[in-house]
Amino acid sequence: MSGRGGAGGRGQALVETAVTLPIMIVLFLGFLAAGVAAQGYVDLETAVALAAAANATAYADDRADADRFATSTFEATVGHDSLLRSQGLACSGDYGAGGTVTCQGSAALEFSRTPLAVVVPVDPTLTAQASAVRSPYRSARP
Amino acid sequence: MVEFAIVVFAFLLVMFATMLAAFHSIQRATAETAAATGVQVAASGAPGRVDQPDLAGAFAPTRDLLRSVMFATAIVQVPPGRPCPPLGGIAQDTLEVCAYPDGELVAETVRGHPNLLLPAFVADRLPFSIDVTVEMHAVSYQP
Repeated sequence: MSGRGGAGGRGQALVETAVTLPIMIVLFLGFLAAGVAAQGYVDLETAVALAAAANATAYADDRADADRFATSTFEATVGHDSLLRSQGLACSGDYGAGGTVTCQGSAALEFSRTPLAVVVPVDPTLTAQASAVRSPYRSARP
Repeated sequence: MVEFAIVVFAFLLVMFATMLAAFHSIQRATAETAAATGVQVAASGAPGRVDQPDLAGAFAPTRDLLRSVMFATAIVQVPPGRPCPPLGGIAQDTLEVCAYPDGELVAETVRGHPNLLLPAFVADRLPFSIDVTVEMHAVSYQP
């Protein structure tokens, strides 16, 4: 028979630590991953919002140029986030003066490039959407 | 008693770290919003020269948004057209705002080390710097 400070007690403490420590580490990394995901989502939201705004600044009824403006804005902004990998942007809507264009962009959040891959073994795909209104006075390409 | 002291210390440490991380998240998200606001101004036409980006105009709206969460932090404008220096070249408690052309796009960077309201010997060792860059296609005004 052993008391609180005996071999049995030390063994119990060891088992408790062995059970608790991995849970604490996984919890800590999980919170960290949630923070990184939130940050990635904010970056993606910003990129899509700017892309929609860029789309709306192009000449009215010039879909090719408007989409090019939006895509280059999206790709460049996403490219500055080291953990986001662009998976494309698509815009649709009314490209005429006063029309509303909606863009949807997606990107993979590359946990696999970080130690957080231990708790998040996949690279989740984030999606964001934003709309912009072209000025009713925007002219067509001369 | 010793166990209790250790637990209380650990609890306070974790709580403090959590609050600091949350504060940094707010600062970074605000920097992202501020940069996005500034770059939209920068991508627009300059006063009197509508076919040129308004790089100088990006700073004021960016600074105004940053000020709300950057306590005791100097917000410095880098001369328009020049990219920001690397993080290592920016002083503590300083954020630099840079707007510069990037081909057909205009970029704005907010980079630096915001004041975390901590003693310098602690703040210097924390990895809570800000480095946000956004870009936008320059607005194509008709001639």
